[in-house]
Amino acid sequence: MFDPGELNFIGPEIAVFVFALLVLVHDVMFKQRNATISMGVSLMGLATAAVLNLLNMQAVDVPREAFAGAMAVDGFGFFLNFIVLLAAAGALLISHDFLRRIDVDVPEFNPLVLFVAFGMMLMGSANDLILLFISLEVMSLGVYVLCGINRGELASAEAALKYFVMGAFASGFLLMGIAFVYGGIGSTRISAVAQWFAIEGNGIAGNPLIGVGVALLLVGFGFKVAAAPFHMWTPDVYQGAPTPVTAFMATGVKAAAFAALSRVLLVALLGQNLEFHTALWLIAAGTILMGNIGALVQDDLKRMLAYSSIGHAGYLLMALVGAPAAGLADNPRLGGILFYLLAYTVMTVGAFAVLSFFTRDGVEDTRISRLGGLADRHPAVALALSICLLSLAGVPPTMGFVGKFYLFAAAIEGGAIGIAVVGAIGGAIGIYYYLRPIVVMYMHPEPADRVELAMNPAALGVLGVATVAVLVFGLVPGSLIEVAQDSLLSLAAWGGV
Amino acid sequence: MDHLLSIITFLPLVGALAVFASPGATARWLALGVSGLTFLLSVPLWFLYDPAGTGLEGWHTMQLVEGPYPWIADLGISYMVGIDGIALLLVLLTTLLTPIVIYSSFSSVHEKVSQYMGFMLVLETGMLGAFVALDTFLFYVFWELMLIPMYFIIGIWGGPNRIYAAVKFFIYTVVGSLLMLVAILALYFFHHAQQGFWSASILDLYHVVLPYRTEFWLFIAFALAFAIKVPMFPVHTWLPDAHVQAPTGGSVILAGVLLKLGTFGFLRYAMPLFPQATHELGPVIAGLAAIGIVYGALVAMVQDDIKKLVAYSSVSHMGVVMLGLFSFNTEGVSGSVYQMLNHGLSTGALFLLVGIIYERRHTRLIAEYGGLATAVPKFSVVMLIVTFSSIGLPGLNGFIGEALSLLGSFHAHPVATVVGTSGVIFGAVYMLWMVQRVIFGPLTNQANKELTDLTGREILYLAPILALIFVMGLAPRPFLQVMEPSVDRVLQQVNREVDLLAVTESAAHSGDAVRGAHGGER
Repeated sequence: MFDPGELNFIGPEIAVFVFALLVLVHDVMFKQRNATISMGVSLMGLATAAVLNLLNMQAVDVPREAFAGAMAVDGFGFFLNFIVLLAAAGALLISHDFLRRIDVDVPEFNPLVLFVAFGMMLMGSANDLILLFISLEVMSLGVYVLCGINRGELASAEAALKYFVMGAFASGFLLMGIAFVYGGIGSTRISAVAQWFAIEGNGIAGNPLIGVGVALLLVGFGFKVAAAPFHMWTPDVYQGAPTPVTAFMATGVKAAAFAALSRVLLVALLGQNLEFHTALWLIAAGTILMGNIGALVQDDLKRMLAYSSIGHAGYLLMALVGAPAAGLADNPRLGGILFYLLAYTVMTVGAFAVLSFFTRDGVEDTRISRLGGLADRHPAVALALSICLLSLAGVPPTMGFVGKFYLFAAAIEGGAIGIAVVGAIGGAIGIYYYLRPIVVMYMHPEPADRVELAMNPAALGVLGVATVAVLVFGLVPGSLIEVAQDSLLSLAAWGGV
Repeated sequence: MDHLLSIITFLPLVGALAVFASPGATARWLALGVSGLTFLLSVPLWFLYDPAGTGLEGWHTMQLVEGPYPWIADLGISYMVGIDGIALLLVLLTTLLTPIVIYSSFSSVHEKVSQYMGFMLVLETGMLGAFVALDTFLFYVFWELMLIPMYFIIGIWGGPNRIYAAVKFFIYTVVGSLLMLVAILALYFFHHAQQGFWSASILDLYHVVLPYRTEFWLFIAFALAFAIKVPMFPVHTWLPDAHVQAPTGGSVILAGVLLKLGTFGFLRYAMPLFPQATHELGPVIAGLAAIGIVYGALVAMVQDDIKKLVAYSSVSHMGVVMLGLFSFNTEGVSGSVYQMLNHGLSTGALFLLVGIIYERRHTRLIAEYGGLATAVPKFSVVMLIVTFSSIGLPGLNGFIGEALSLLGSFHAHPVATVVGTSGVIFGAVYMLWMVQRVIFGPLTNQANKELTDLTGREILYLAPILALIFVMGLAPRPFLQVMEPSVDRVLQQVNREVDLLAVTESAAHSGDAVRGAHGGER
């Protein structure tokens, strides 16, 4: 049954895991650990994983199962792996100087990030709900700890506790959902669920077990991707967690959770049932509006980005509403989901890199008013942050615009004009609050008690790369979009939709 | 010069990069040089464009076409530019006004000069791109690209309430354009369902035939975006704020070119794409235009701030343009396009003049002035000429455009035209009254006695506008000849007979591909 050759397919995961262990050993072995070596080895782990992932991507033309069907080896998973690796690398680089400044000297940080990335990557390829659950827990446990890594800070501890309690609750929902689905269908394979639905006469209607199971799954995922009405934890946790961790949560955790949700929805569930579709519609609309309206009134940039991240989850759900019943090939524009996850990761990491500069005596201070006069003091940083924010707002010619364009295209191609209009309204609200930091940077004077920005090469590098990528892929998105679309279409191999 | 249009469009953007990087004094001249060169390069367009010549198949008026070069292949999005007679004139207006504005800002902008000049050049690329784009996606990108520099120009170099005005300007425009984006996407899918291939080119999208209900909503989405830009009553409220707060250069570009993009959008996109809805809603839009004319004029009459007066007069004048557009006949639409140019020149000049005295006195209140004719005679003469042009005195450019627009629209919407024409009379009243209070009367205020008259530089940048005011008033023929075939071609599209049978059939087709677009969610 077990074929050692299949280990190739989890090569990237293994690489990240092994390097995490190496870093852990290094960090605990030496009393005076060398932070640079620890960082370097961690990044090497991510780079190795990226190379292995690329090799896998080229080697596997036709999607296939591995490990007795527990894992799906397909373009969708490969694409997600890249997003996760990018998010992890960004978070690590931002954290390097930041942790020193807030006086958090814990050897566990880098290994934890790698372990979390390991969980995320598995999540994106899980073809079995049990594997999905386990990898989600691997990810979540690490993130709970990372949230509270700044033990001296009350907000950080609060964030960790809140996220843990709420997260455990959501995991419970997810597990219950899996159990119900298993009870109804007799399998936890996502592709098996799809095959079951494909049989004439099988559906949610008349099968209360499945109905309840699907609803519970939706709640569990809704929590993880911060969809309304399960988004309440997001602002507090995002604000309380140290900035690099928040960046990692907003990008990596969201991408992984959304990938798992998309896989379950697109492979197994969508196009089955009208009631279910309505629920998704309502969740998407609520998420778009709640996130964007909530962000309007925030005075703290980090908290604003937390609310806006809810809005972005809404746009992604909007695209899923447009998923066709007839088959994925009917709506290739859905590839925009992967493109947007990547775009969102890049521009968000860029914005958080700038946020990480704002500390005062070891305490974060990310009020928007702190940005005053930034354009005069550091024009390049102000310009880069503006580009990232405009990209988040979806203004051309940026990657964020192209991504959003495709999400709208996916929704409209699927006939979901109504939700697209809601999305357009959300986008217009978004413009307002994304402009605010830009207004402050360019049009307000410096605050009287300004502190020097704690700029450091690592975070500046992240910012630079993110900004260039946002512009380049905004102007010539063609090939990247093709890859994203092919990757998403690989899901079609699993039957169902 | 195969790529003349692209060169003209992107030269300012390339120049902007250099301008951003150079110190203030150099940036001024560099920006002037770049925008001047752009103008010089655009002059040959006038000769290269042949109104009677042949361009694209089926669209002989669309010439100097470049592309399509594939850009985002899977939706048929490509880089494609070209101009018809209408776009040609607006491109020339843009390339002419930009160096004038940059030159005029030499004395009014002293802080962050290189950024200001750089933003002006980026803005020019945005405007030119929106005029020359033949691909809807490309058009949308340029349409949004314009917003960012304008937003900064108002927000950084504007008056006391600049941030509010800048944000309001941005939000209003974006709300409209996002809904338009949704409509553009819907058009792509309809086009694919009907023609079997993906295309974002406007000339291909013209072939889409839509069921009335769908067409109605898509037209609304497009029309809202453009109506905000024009601006039409009742979505005009961002304009007075933006105009009054913007620095002189910003106001001139805003009034001179940006507003034209709204009416141009109607003419290029909303009307020919959705002929049934256009005719159906024509009376409503004509009615709103007429209300706008009268309302703008009445509000302008009671302003005590010159700049605000000019701002409201824009609402009024653009109402005339809209009336002309929705006349659906050659006179009306030609007059309307002519009026776009006139308004760009005369209102642009008015804003420049307001800027000139504001620089000297730091007030724009009408009550502060009076008797300028004796203190600054050259200024007063220019002001008078521009005012007469603005109110449409025969012999100057304003008369031709206004007369043609109203003449044309009288055939289509007699009542709205009668109401609108009365507003034009009000227009004469508030402008003349303003001139009377500012220029004539006794010279009582000591500060006004010490005013310096127009400098050589100011005369230099006002001269081209003044010359055009006379030329276009006395010899309108060449301008009308350039645009008329294009106007006719567009009208042919707007007035095309919609084959109802085809609509029903294609409704069944597109119903498969775009589920629920005309029946709610699936």
